[in-house]
Amino acid sequence: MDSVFPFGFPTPTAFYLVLYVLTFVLHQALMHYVLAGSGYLAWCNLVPGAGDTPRTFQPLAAILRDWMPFALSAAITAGVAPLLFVQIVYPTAFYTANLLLWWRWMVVIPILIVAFYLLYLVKSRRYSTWSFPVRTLIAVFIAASFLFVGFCWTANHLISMHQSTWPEIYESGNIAISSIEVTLRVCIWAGGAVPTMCIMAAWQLSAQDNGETRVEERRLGRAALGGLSVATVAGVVYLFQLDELSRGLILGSFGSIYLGIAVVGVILQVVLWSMVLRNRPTRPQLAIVTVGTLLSLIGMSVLREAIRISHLDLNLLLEDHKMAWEIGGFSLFLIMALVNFAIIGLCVVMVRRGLKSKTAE
Amino acid sequence: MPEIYPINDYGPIMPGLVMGMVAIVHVFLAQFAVGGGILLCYFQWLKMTGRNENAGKFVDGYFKVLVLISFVLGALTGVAIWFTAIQVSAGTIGAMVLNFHWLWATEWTFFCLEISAGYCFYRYQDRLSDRISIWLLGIYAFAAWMSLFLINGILSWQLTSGNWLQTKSVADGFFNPSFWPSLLFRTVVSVTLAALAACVVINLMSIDRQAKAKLIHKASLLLVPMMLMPLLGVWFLAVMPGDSRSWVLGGSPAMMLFLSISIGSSLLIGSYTIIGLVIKNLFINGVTATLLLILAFGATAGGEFVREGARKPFSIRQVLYSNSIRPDDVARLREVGCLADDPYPLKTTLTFPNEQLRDGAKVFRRQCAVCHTVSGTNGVTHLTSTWDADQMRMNMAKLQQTKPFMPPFAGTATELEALVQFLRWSHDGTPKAWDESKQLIVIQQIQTWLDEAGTKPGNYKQYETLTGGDE
Repeated sequence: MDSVFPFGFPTPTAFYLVLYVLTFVLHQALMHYVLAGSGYLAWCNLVPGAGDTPRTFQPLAAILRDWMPFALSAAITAGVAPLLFVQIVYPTAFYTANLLLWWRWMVVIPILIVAFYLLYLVKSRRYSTWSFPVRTLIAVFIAASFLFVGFCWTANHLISMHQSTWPEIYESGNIAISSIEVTLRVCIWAGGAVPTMCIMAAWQLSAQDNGETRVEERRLGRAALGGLSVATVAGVVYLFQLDELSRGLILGSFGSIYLGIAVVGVILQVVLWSMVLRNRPTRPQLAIVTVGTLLSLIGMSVLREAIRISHLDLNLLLEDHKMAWEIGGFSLFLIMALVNFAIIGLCVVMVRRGLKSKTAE
Repeated sequence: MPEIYPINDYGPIMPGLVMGMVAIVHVFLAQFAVGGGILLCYFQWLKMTGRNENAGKFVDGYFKVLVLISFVLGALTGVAIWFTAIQVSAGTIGAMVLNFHWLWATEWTFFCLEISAGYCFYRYQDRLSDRISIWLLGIYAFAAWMSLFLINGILSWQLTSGNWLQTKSVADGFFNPSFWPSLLFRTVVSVTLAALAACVVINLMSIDRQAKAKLIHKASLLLVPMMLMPLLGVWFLAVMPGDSRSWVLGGSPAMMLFLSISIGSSLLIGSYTIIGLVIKNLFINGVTATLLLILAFGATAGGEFVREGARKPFSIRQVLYSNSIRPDDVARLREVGCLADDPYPLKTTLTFPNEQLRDGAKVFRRQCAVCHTVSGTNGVTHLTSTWDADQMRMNMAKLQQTKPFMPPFAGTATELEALVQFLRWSHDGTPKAWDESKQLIVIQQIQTWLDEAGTKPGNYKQYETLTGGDE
């Protein structure tokens, strides 16, 4: 692979890979908000703080509690698109990994259903009237559920990459994946989830526009820097743990640009979050952190694909991608995507105007 | 060469049953969401035009139910159905995704629109004008119905591929012969489910009985389209392939039973609601409304079972058999065998007395395990318990002729004999000692039967008409 991702592949393969990565980034951003947000809520319950108002009832936690059900709904909906395109790009590997994980994979659904309903419970007024142990138990359970779902996806992803182990996994029922690799990957995405949640929550806090949130802005800054540190250290260790082929793709012309993009994204975030620790963030500063976060997400998503591509022989799938490419319907998708996302924009505008006119009345 | 996927053993439950259960729950919830959008638009209009003083309060309460049920359970069972479909037949879902991925991607954009408009309404409706509210509800309802429109095309293609078989055009596959009757039928079902759920919600509202009765009467007007169901049902039956229609109308007792459950439940609901609620303007309490909703679930379950079962022996008509073997691959598998390219060892605690039985178990896994168990639900040892060895050999060699809703055997004569021995051994309680069946004359006889049956499906003449004879 001497070309930059995705240019070394025939057009159909490159096209579906790009679509997969882009839709995955969207899903990932929302998923990060849910995962790290639920982690934050669990932490708030476990460490309520010494102030008059426990952290669970401070503005940041209130915002998260309020928005978490929608964010999960949006994350699940956004996840449909990458789930679709992964089946075009790597059908056999994806299906086989699903089948090999079997009930360990299917259990993701009931866990998500329970966690989803608990999020609505946490959002309700009744939640604040419950005792500390009950609230804590619920918050910790939700966070643990999302962590478990993330772990299942990691296991699925890793199994899909190691074709030679499939018959052995099937026969023994044991998931033969490296615990070091799993741990490092979990640290990368769980650590990386924190800064993504932090920037989204920072925008939400800034929309409240009151001086009481300064403590929480600093808390977000510290959390984001902590998450970035964990993800970066785990990423560097993982890079050295990888086999030569995977590392070669990441450090070679295929992935090095994306590694650079991810690093630039991290640097932007570190610099700007450090500034947030000292002063209230301005909107341009938040915008720069957002750009940095997006760069990191895109860069890391491509590197994730580089590792997968180094394990799977995409040449065997080129014909399938070409066949999919020749099937009609893309123009319909494109038109409907433009129309529907424009209508989504229109809904937001309508609501904003409606709220403004109501306030004016 | 087609991909071979690992097959999991569900013990006494056949995988198809698991798929059916998840599918029925999801279809019920998804159709409720579609009908709910339409119903809410109607009630919002009643509120805006002053036709019912409690319509606004109802919209509030009903939308909360819709969000809690449809946005959570509906969305997640949607993902579950995808995951379960992979478990049951990765080949089927793979073919559907490959052929219609842009339609599925288009449906995704409607999902995004649905949850965006829905959440805008859910969060802000109490602070928005009625005009904006009805716009949001209208967009929500349209997006939800469009997702039904799109998925209906893909699902109906599984049963009636239509001209797609010749042209391979997405439009031909999508607007297949059963597309319109299926879409209209599902739309009526959606509105019915939403109206029945409305009767339950109205009974939970803290308003007086007279106010409830007024609301219930308004909701019951949405049950009127149920009168179209018999017509749409007949239209659907008319466009079904002839053999599928014959299974449903008596050829398969199980399918006929489920169809009867579906029709019977619909008739009960229809007569009660049209005569009682619409014509006589009667009141319906929460318990009765819940009972009707449960009946509607039964009707949905029966209908979905029939829709799934009517495709037999295919999971996608003329494209893929229920066991994920392609019709055009049967001839090759008759030559090379179905075990030759299967990389997966057996996952079992059984100790096989000989290799032939082990091979037989593998043949069972590859060709039978999706729809049958060995001795549990739809167990083959039960179904064949009165057959002697030769009968079993002949009936399986000529399987598509023995039972036209079964696919042809896709393996060698030796593999068929291994399957027969495995089933007889299982039927006899898996004894420790079991002689291998090695007589050449037996294998030759099986080969003769296999040759006589050919590699085409049982009702192949009908398929040849459909495919222009190139199958």
